Amino acid sequence: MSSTHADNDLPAAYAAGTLPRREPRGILGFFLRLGAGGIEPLLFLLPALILVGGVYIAPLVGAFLDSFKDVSLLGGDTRWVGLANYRDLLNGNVLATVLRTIVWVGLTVAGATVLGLTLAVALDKPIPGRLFFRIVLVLPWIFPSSIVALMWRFTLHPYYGTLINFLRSIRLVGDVNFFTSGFAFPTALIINILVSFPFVFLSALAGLQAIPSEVMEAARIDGATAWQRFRYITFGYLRPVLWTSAIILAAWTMVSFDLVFVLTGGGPGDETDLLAISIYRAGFQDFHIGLASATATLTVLLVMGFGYFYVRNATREAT
Amino acid sequence: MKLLKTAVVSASVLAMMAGGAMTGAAVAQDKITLTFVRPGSPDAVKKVYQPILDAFVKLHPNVTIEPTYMGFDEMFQRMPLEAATGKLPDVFMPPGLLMPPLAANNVLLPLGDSIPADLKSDIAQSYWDAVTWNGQIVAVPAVINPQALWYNADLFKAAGLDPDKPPATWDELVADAKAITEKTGVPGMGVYGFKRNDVVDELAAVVQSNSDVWYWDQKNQAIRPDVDVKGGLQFLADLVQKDKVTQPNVDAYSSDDVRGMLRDGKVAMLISSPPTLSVVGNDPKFRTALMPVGPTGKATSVANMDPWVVSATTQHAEMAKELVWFLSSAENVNIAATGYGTLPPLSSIIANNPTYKSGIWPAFVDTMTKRAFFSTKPITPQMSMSTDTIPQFAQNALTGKSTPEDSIKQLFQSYGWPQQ
Repeated sequence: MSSTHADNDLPAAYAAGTLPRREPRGILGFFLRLGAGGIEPLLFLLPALILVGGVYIAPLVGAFLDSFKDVSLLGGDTRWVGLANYRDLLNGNVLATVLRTIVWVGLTVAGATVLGLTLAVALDKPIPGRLFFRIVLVLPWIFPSSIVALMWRFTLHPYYGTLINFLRSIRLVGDVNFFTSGFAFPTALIINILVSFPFVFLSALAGLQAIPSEVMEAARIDGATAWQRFRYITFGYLRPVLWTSAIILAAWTMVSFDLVFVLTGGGPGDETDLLAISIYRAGFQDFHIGLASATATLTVLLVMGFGYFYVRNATREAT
Repeated sequence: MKLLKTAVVSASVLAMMAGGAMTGAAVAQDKITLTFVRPGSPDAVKKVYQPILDAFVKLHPNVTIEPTYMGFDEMFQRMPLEAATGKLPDVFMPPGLLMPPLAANNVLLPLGDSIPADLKSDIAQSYWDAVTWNGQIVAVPAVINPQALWYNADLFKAAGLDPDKPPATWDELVADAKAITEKTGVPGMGVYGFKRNDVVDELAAVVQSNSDVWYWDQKNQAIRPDVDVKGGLQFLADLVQKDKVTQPNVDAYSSDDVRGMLRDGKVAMLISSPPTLSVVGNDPKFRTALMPVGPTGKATSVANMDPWVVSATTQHAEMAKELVWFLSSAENVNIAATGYGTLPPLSSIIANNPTYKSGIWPAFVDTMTKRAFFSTKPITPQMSMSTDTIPQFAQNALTGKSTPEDSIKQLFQSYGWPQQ
C-alpha cells in the first residue's frame, strides 16, 4: 500500500521500478477487487444483486423515467414531457414541503437521540424493574405507526379524546386542540419522537454493554466526575453507534408517511404536509404518477445523502 | 333423392341435438365467479347486501359471488391501485368522486345500450347525465346523498325556539344558532373542518344554497368566477370566527365526529346527508330541513352520488351486467335503501315507499325534487382533484389563518385558475 511508504522513499522506488500502484477507488475499485477474487464471490452475491435490482433498482429507474412523463396511475396515454413535472414541483409548494420535511427529520432525530440515549443510560444501571421498563419503552416501536397514530388521535381528540377529557374533568385544560393550526406540527413531531426513540434506545443500550467496566472503573479511581465519565467514556464509546442510528433514523423519517397521514392528513392547511404525503397525494389521489415520481426522485436524492453518510461511517468503523 | 334428403335432414337434426347437448353441457359447466365490492360500514353493508347477493346466486346457480366489504377510505386507496393493475372487482360501487377518473381512464365497461328500459325510465335523466362519460353511460346511479340541515328539536325548544320552524335563511340560521348557544350553552351549529372530502360537501351545500348556477365550470374545469364561493366560505368562517356559534376547534372534526356530537346533544344543527341517520338513530328529536337560503334567494341543492359499475377487464361482462340490473331492480333498491338508510335514485320508490314521506326524508326528497338539483353532474377528474385541494384552503379560512378571500385566491393560484 502506498500509505506504508514514506515520501522520501518514492524516488528510489520509482527508480527501482517498484513504485506501488495506487488502487482504483469507488465502484470501479470495488469490482476490480471483487474480480481479483475470482468468480466465486460474484456467484455468492448474485442472488442478492438480483433481489436488490428487482425490488429496489428497477422501480427506482422506472420512477425516474416516469418523472419525465405525463402518466396516470390508471393507465391511458403516456407522453414524454421533459422537465415539466419538475417545473410543476418548483411552481408548487414543494420547496416549503422540502424545508418542512428537513425540519421534521432534524428535530425527530435530535429528539429521539436525546431521549433514547438518556433512557438507555438510566436503564443501564441495575435498578428495580429494569427489564419491565425496557420492554415498555420498546412498545411504541413494535406497534405499526398507523395504529400508534390512531391511538394518539383517540387520546388527544378535542371531543372524544380520553386524555383531553380527563384533563378537562380536572380543569387542567379548557377547549384545547392539539391538531389545530400552529399546534398540529409540534404535536405530530412529539408523537413521532416518541415512536422513534426506542430504536436509538435499543442501539445505545447495546452500545453501553460493550463499554469495558475496567475503563469506567479506572476513570472513577482517577477522580473523573460523573459528567466527565459520561462525556469522555460513555459518549465516546457510543458515538459511532449514535451516529449510525441517527443516519438510519433520518432516512426512515424522511419517508415517514402513515403516522402523519392518519394523525392530520397533512393539515390543517399544509402545516404537516411532508414529502411522502405529497407523493401519495399526487400519485394516489390525483393519479398524477409523473408528478409523484418527480417528487419521489427528489426524496430519493435526499435519502441517498443519508445513505452516503451511513456507508462512509460504516466503512470508517470497519477500517 | 328423397332418401338423400331424409338422410341430410336426419343428420342435421342429430347434429343440432348433439350441438345443443354440448352447449347445454358447456353452460352447465360454465362456472362463473364474480367479485363484488360495496363500500360502507362493513357489518351494516353485509347485513343488507348478502341476502340480495344470495338471491342472485339462487337465480344463477352457476355463479359464485365473492363479496368484499370495506370502508370508503379503503375504497379510495385500493380501487386506483386495482385499476392500475387491471384487478378491479367485476361489479363495484366507487364513491362518486372516484368514478370520473376511473371512467376517464377507460377502466369501466360502457353499459349504455343494454340498460333495461324500465330501469332507464325510473331514474331521472340528470342522474344518467352524471354517469355519462364521452357519450357513454358507464354506471347505474345507486345512492343519492343530498345535503340538508339536521337539527335537534329538543335544543330548539330549550332555547325557546319553535322546532317546527327551522331556519329558512342564512340570517335565521345565525340567529337561531346564537339563541341556542346563549340559552343552552350548547354550540348552535356543528361545522366540520378536518381535511377530508366531506369539507367540500359542506361548503358546496352552503354555496349552492345561495346560487342557481352549479359552482363548477365544466368548460374551464375550475370553480366558476360568477358563483359566490367566497361568500359561502365567508358564511362558514363567520359562524366559527365572528358569531362563535360552533364547537371550538372545527378543524379537528370530521363529519362523523360532528354527527356524533349531534347525537350526544353537543351541537344543535349540522349540514349533512342521509347517512347521519345511522349515527343519530331513529329518534324523533332529530329532524331535517331544507338548506337555509342565502342572501341572493337563489337556492339550489347539491348531492353526491355513488353508482354501480362493471370493470372493463371483467371476464364475465354479461353476467356482471346482469348483477348490476339485479341490484338496481326496484325491489332490491328498496331493500338496500331502507335497510341501509340511503336515498334511492328510483322515482318509483320515492313515490311509493311510505318511508320517504315522513321523518327525516321529506327534506331530502324535496332537496332532490323541488330545487334545481345538481348531483355529481357532470363530475370530472379535475373536479375530483379539486376536492382534495379545496379543504386545505377552506381550513385556513375556518381557523382564521387567512381570510376567505385570501384562501380562495391561494386556491386559484395553486391551480393556475383566473382570479375571481
